Amino acid sequence: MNRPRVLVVEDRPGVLKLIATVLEVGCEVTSAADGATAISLLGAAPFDVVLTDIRLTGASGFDVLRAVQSHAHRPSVVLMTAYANLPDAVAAMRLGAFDYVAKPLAADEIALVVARAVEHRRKTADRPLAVVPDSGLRGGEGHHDLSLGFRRAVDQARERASVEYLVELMRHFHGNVTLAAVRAGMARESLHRLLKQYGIHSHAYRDPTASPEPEGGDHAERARLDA
Amino acid sequence: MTRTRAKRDVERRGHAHRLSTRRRLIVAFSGILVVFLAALALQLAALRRMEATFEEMKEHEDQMRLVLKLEDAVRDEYAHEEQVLRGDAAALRDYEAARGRALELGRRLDRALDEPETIALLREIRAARAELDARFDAARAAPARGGDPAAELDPSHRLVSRIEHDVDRIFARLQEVGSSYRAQLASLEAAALRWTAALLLGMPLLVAGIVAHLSRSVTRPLARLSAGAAAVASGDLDGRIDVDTPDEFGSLAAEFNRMTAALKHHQERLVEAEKLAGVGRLAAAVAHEINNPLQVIIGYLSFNRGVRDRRLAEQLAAAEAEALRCKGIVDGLLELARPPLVPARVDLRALCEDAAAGVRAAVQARAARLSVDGVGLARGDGPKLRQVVFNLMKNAVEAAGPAGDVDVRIGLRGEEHVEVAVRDSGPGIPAEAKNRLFEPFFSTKSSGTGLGLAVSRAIALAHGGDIDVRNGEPAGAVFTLRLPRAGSGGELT
Repeated sequence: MNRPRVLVVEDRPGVLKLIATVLEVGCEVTSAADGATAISLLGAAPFDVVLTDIRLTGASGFDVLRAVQSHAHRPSVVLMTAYANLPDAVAAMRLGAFDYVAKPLAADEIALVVARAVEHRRKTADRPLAVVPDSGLRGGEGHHDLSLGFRRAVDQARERASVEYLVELMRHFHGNVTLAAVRAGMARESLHRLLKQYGIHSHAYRDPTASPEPEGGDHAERARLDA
Repeated sequence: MTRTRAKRDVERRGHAHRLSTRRRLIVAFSGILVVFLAALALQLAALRRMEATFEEMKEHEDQMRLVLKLEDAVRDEYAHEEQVLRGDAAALRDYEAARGRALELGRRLDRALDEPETIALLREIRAARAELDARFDAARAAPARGGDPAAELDPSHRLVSRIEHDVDRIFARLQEVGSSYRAQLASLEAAALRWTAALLLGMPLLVAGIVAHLSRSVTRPLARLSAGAAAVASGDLDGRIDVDTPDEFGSLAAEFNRMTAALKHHQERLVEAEKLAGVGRLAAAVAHEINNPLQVIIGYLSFNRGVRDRRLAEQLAAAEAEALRCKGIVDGLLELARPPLVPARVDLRALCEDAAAGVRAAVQARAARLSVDGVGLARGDGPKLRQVVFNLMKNAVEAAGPAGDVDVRIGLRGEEHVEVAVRDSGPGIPAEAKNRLFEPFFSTKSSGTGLGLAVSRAIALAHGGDIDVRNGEPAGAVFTLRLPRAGSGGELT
């Protein structure tokens, strides 16, 4: 089983334990309690996703992000913060973070953002280093546009991306939630709740021509996606 | 533009005094000058009259002297006549001299006298003298024909006595006129003295009165102004200076009162801004310290949403809902700290309709009727303003209750602002709550974070607008959001 490998970096043991508990359902989770440990772990094993707090003892979440960019196997990086603010968000995106999320997050949201980061990692794994699309973020005046209710705008964008991702999952697995959950590295119940939350009906994606036992088709889809 | 207009207003007000201090000073000093000049002219006229009277008196005295001299000359003439008649030939020359003197004095008196009575008397004297001369000439011729010279002298003596008598009468008459002149002079003198005394007393009184009035009209308002300034300096911004005179002091007091009001307004704003800045610093610290524990709480609660035990699931859901409310408070605090703005042209009608739709979706089906009316374009940050309008509408709908009404009216306010008035049919705002309504964490509702109105107002203020509240007629509350109006030009970036 090709479970996503996730490195969680968080200096608060309670938060670290929670995130590990949530993600362990579908992922291989490695925990790091500080930035320096995280950076050394990056060299030891390849990860699909790094989920890191920004404020850490020792190196910061941004240092972890920079360290990630220098590795050949570049995991998707999700930065977390308890104090969301525009300068950090802009810096995170410029440095190539996949997402920038504000605590507190519900368990399903954590699972979903990691699942999307995993998917992103899979899609970009074989490509050369992506050019960071920072045209909208750089150049003085431009990024003031984000300051306007930027969290709401970011949340909306994230919601759209999440819906697209969930729809894509349903499409690939023809509405099979169990397989989609495995693929996304999250608990089946969690995916169910998310689908319900975003108003996506898995039945709508059932292939009417497919056999009642859609295993073969799903395997084919999975093979295609994995490639 | 507004500033220059205000300046013009101030200047106009400044020029509008009907009785400016400058004018009062001019009027007062010209009054004093006029009175002084009039007094001077009167005094000069009195002096001239006195001088003229004095001149006439001198003339009279001259006349009196001439009359006395004439009497002397006549007596001399008569004495020398006697000597000549007694045979003293040498006396003839003296007689001629005395006669010449008497003739000369008679001519001078003839010119000088101006009263008919005295002129008549002088004529009598002249006639008597002519008779006297005629008698003397006759007597000088008589000794040659023989006769008593003494007998000749007797009628002449009577003539002289008559002349003396006439002279005395002229003299008496002149004396009479002279004494009337003296009386006139004395009365003129007394009048002049009275005038001078009146002036000496009156002028200082007049000047003192004017000075007292002027100084009172200056010092009294000045004292009030200075007391008012002292009150403001000591921090009392509620007091007003009570000077409404139609002069510079009145307008100075009005300007001062306006300044104090503006100062109070700005101070209140400053205090509010300070409060918000304090809230902002607090929010950043609180966000770190609260969001991490909240992450653990919400994380585990949401992780266990799928728990089979229904009672436990309900309890966990309730706990999660409260934890999410805490999250809302922290978010509100952060928002309060820094309402970021991107100005753009905002169609308030569309924004209100959108917010109304959001409110209808958010509240229960059985809620107040919500209507939007009017149009307006504001300059501001669309999403932020939508949040404000949403807050106001949601509060109104909750206040109005299921059977109530909420009217949202968009319209112009003055030249430079647009407003959105949200009126509900609820119970209205209690007076004691009105002042605290916009304070963070003040809430009249049992649920909610107590930050909605504080955040809304912070956003409105950041736009250069404001939110105010009043109770409506006949009931309910009216929250009015005031915003700068979008111009027609390209001032938007």
